[in-house]
Amino acid sequence: MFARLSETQSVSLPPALWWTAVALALAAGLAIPSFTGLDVHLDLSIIFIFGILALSMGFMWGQVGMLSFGQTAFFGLGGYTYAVCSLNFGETTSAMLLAILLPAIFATVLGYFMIYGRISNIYFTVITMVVTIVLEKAIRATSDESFVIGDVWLRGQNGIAGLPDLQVPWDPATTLFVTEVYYLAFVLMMAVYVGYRMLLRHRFGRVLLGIRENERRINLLGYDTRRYKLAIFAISGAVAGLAGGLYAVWGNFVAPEMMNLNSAASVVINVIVGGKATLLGPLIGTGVVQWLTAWLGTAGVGQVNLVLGLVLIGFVMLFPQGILPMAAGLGREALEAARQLFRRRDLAAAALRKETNS
Amino acid sequence: MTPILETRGLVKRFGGVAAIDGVDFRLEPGELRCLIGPNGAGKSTFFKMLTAQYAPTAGQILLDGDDITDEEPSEISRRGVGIKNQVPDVLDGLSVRENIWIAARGRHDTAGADHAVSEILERLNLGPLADRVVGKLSHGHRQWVEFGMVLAINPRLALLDEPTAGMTAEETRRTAELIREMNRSMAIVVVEHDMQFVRTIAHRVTVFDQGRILAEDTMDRIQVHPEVLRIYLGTSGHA
Ligand SMILES: Nc1ncnc2c1ncn2[C@@H]1O[C@H](COP(=O)(O)OP(=O)(O)OP(=O)(O)O)[C@@H](O)[C@H]1O
Ligand SMILES: [Mg+2]
Repeated sequence: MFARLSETQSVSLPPALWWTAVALALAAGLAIPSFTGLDVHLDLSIIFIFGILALSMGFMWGQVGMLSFGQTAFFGLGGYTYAVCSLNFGETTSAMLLAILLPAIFATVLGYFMIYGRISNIYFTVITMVVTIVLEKAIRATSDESFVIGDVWLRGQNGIAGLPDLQVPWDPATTLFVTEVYYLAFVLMMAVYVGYRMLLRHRFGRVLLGIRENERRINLLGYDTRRYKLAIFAISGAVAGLAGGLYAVWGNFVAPEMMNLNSAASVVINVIVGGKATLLGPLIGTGVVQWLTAWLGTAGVGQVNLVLGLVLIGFVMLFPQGILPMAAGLGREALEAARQLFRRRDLAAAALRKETNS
Repeated sequence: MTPILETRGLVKRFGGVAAIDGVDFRLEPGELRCLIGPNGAGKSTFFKMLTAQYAPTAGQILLDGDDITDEEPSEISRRGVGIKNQVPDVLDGLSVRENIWIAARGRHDTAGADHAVSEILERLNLGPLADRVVGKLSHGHRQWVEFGMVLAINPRLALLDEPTAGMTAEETRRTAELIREMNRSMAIVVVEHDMQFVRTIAHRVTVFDQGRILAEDTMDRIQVHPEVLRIYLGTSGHA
């Protein structure tokens, strides 16, 4: 079953209410660090970072109908760009900007060949998956000391550790520590969420929704859908790159695992668990899966991946639309049931009045 | 006068079958033409070639004298060609309003699109359904939505493939009215099986048969054309 906008609409709130919810979420997110410890800040930061990555994938899949299995290619490229540039430049602001820009350019070139080459949806998915795996293998093959960019040795499968902390752009002497990284990741996640959401309100986003529904019709209306698809692929590449840069900052470390099949599948799973029909879904899904993984780890289950896999399969079978639409559906049903109950009571009261009057 | 639309030796083959087999067609600016012909004659294929949904096997398509044979569907649309396909071809998961807005926004700024949408909703009596999801509407209503999309791009040439299919008698009457009204500002080609309907809207009629133009004349003369009678009634009366 594919979720349609009818479901999306029923889950999304009217603008005023939505902005209020965003403001409340923002306030809550900014308040959390003051009554939690560093470990919580670290754990939540990584959820925000993976949430940004999941959004870049979930937006394209749920709203445009483009299933990119390889957003991790841009994620990894963003991470490695930050690593190589920050170590070479001894300066992190431009490194972070390049961690967004380079994946965007790469996505534009890759997307151009796929989209203007008129490959089918399934090949789009397969090619994006192959690209992330190829990049992973390529990085793995750089363990020889000759693989150097500037002064930085890529170190193959060992990854690059000891990356510099992010500097405040206008005050490079000050660097961000754990809690500041939390704030940064959180605010950027909210910004990406709001940004994608605003996109849907305007022509560009509406046309993307139209492409999901019926690409041929959108072309017949005079829009060159290839340009729209390429643009959103590039934007989502940039967003995934941003997540990669943040990941490098978060752990002061990058490794080829950022781009392997496992990571690529995780992104898709996060989106499926939360549901791709809404923009909140990928964020919720990332939080739930991340929390579940951590919990299984501490519960001493042993085969974490196996159990996680089974749980996820169960999830998908029980809630094919994802958690969020399911919850919204239950909420709607409860509301409707309550309404029915009251209506029946009103009717009964009215009948009673009528009887006593006559 | 340069015809608004002209095809020269147009051919479309699907495997061995020639769905369109050498069609030379001319339409004058502002004309309203009906296209009739038995099932499988190639009418829908012809429309799809005119809008680049199918690439021709051979031949040329000219719009206002410009060769558009190799152009993209979006380019042809922006030149002012709108099409309503035979099967309702709408954005099923979006609301009526969104469907028409997306169409209108391609030709107007946001304010202009909003304005055009309310005008079209009114004109097509779709106001009460504006916020309904199109995929859940009846076949007839989805046809109206597609009409709305064609109106929203304000074409100079509208191609309407069986616009009254699935409509009630009253809706059919309104459609005829709408088409005549549209014809004041645009050329139109209508594919129709309903001869009564054809008679009420068109002056000239083109008859397709087996991918070719069999006849082209006024409705009165088409009705007594021996070849046309033969394909519609069958040679030995077993139709
Ligand atoms: N995509 C396609 N692939 C293969 N054959 C096709 C395709 N589209 C149409 N045809 C064939 O081309 C011929 C013409 O079909 P077309 O749909 O254009 O006829 P039509 O005049 O519109 O008929 P109807 O009145 O039933 O709508 C038919 O023989 C049909 O089977
Ligand atoms: Mg047809």
